[in-house]
Amino acid sequence: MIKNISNLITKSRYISNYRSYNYSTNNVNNVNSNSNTTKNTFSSMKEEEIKFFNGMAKDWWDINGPMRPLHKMNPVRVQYMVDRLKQSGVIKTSGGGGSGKSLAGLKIIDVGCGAGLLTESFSRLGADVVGLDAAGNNISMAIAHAKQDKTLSDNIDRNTLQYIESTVEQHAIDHHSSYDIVTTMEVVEHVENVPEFIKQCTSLIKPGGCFFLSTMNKTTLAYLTTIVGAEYICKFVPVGTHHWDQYVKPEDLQSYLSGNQVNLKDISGLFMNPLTMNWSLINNTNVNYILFAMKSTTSTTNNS
Amino acid sequence: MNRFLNKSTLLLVNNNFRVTGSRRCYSGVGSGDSLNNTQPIKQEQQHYDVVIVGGGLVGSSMACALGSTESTKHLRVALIESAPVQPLYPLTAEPDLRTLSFNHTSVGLFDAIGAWSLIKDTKRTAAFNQLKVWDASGGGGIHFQDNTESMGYILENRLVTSALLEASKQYESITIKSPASVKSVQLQSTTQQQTTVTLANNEQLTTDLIIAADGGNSIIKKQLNLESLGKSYNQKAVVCTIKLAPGYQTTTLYQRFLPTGPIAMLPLADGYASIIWSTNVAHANYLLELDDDSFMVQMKHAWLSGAKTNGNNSIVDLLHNVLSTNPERLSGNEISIPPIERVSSKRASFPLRLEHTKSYTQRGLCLIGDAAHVVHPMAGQGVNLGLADVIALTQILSEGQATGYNVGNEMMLERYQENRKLENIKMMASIDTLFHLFGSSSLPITAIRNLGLTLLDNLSPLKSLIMSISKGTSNLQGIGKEKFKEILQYEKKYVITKPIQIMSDMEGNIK
Repeated sequence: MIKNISNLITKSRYISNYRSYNYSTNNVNNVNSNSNTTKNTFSSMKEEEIKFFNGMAKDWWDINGPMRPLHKMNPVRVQYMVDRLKQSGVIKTSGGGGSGKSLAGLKIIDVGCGAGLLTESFSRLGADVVGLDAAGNNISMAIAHAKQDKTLSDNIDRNTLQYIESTVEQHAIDHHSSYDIVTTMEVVEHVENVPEFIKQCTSLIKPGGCFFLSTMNKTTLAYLTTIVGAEYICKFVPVGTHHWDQYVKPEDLQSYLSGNQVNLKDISGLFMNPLTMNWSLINNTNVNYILFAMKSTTSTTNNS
Repeated sequence: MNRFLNKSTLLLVNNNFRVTGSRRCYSGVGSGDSLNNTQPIKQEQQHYDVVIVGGGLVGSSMACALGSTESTKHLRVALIESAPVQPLYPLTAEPDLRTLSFNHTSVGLFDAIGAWSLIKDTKRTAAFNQLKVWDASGGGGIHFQDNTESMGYILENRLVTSALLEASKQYESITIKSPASVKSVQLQSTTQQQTTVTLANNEQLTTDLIIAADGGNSIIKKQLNLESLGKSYNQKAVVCTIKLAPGYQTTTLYQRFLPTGPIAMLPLADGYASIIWSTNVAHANYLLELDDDSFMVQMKHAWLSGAKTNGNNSIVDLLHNVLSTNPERLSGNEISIPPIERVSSKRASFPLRLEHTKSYTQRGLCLIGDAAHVVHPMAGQGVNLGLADVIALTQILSEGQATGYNVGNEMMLERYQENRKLENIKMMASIDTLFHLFGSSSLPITAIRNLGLTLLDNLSPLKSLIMSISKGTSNLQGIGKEKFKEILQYEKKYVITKPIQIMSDMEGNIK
């Protein structure tokens, strides 16, 4: 039992990393220098390294492991995003002319991509996608996993799928208004300075571009289900994964977003059936929720 | 752009689908720029997103379903069938001996994938809207009638398969490889990106997903050593078609439960009918050896002979007296079949068994139809379960394609299994319960069976159980044990102590 928990905590380190490095100047510099070197060695990783990270990636990507709830959530959140993009006319309703590439031609960045659960989906749907994470282990795991798949490894070779080890603010320096879509899923609850994080994320969006975010609400119900229930009772996710004081209320996010000329278009609740771990969209946003917002077209010139 | 070029090449290949040697080579899924690739390309290797092994009813339906669904129609599909493709026309003069019962869900699928109109055009479709079931040993019988709609269709296996393969030609994503058989399979893993399928002629295909639709004796299942649970009923089904006497055409499905097993008559078009006679192996072999005239005599006897009670009539008589108070049962003169003119086909047989594969899916592999589950043909549901698998898998793969998953992704495939396994097990258990209820030849159970059959003509639970099995609906619940409890409760009113004791024993055995 104890061994089990410590094992889980080891895994949660990758998530916790995000919290510890964020907005610490030392770390930013550190990561920056890392990112340059790592980026250069991505394509020529040593055999032993691939082997090592394969094992790690397998752990993160084990659909029956501690990341199972997140794996099960992914199809639902991707469907949500595709549906919203269709509704708002960003992509064609016919879904890429039946080619299975509904996101073709869109430049997307997934901030806090972890081992690439969502990033891989974007890549298969034809997007030109960047997975950004400050934790080097996550990036290595993401690349190792993508290389197990023909389509994804081809996309890496063609640079339409990139994993970059960097903080969002570091990346934002030279990628202002560069992306059609910015997503940050299940990340903001691990971030210490949320308004600053949102400011950095939204700065990456092109005028008229889209923003998706999913997280957990700061409610008693969310505390009971996501921490007491999911971590301590059911052990769906490692103990210490979540910190309730860092949960964010949707109205707070809405105000941070509108302060950066990004307007909330939709917000939906996400519900996980604890027996099947299957997720569905619901109206109630008291626990997990996902939101869709769009940057105003004039935002670069018009600042309030 | 390259994608479209690839597609048009594929179209050319498909227009002449008997030319299975045409080869397309490229290095990767969706990349399309194989010419610029510096890696050497093996001439023999072709890539398909999906390889379906088995071009029977279920396999060819699967191919058409993927080809006709918006979010899966871009998937390149290879359909591997060991037998040569038989054209739909010319039709055989008399119906083929292998027939199957299709429920409305299955017909709806055929319609959606563009095969139903082809099937209808043959004018060889027969709908049935009545079901008459009775028993060998007494006066018990039940009658179902559905005046508002047909309960389903009886169709010739060969005809439907040819129509489905014909329909598949309209989908440019489908390539048929026939006759071709699988020699070996090497499944994808963390170290191997794609599954490799080697055919008997050493042709090699790479794929992201193998769908095994190669029936109860699945080669894929054997190749990969997949574990399954099952049992033999120690029975064989003898099948043939018959011509009814001139002027007779029926829309009733007849079934009589004999001590040796059920015999069924399924209505076909133009005054024909199909016989499925399940019996013990020795009897089946005997029936196969008879000449047509002697077989006719045996068959008429099976349908119409009186009670066989092993010489002990007392309990049957007692029960019969009790039952005769029930006015709703099928009366003696209603228990009959239309006159038979002759046997119109050869006779064939197949062994009856129940088999269930423990796991339908793993990364890059999915089992559908009889490859996943074999049921007793008594309720005529084998193929309907298989086609329900097709619908469920198409739905899941479609969702996977819309949300950016590899077609062989194990988590998505697992959802197919979640959807289908319970339904299949429920149906298997229902049919197995019926088999044990009707399949015994020991006298007391025969007596109870007869009692139960008549009583239950008016008892909604078993009636709805049989009805829903015939219709292929899946909202069965608490079959087996609970049904017996209800029979038990109903029967207590008659204060028959001995059968109650026996039924309690049976109840203990079933579960």
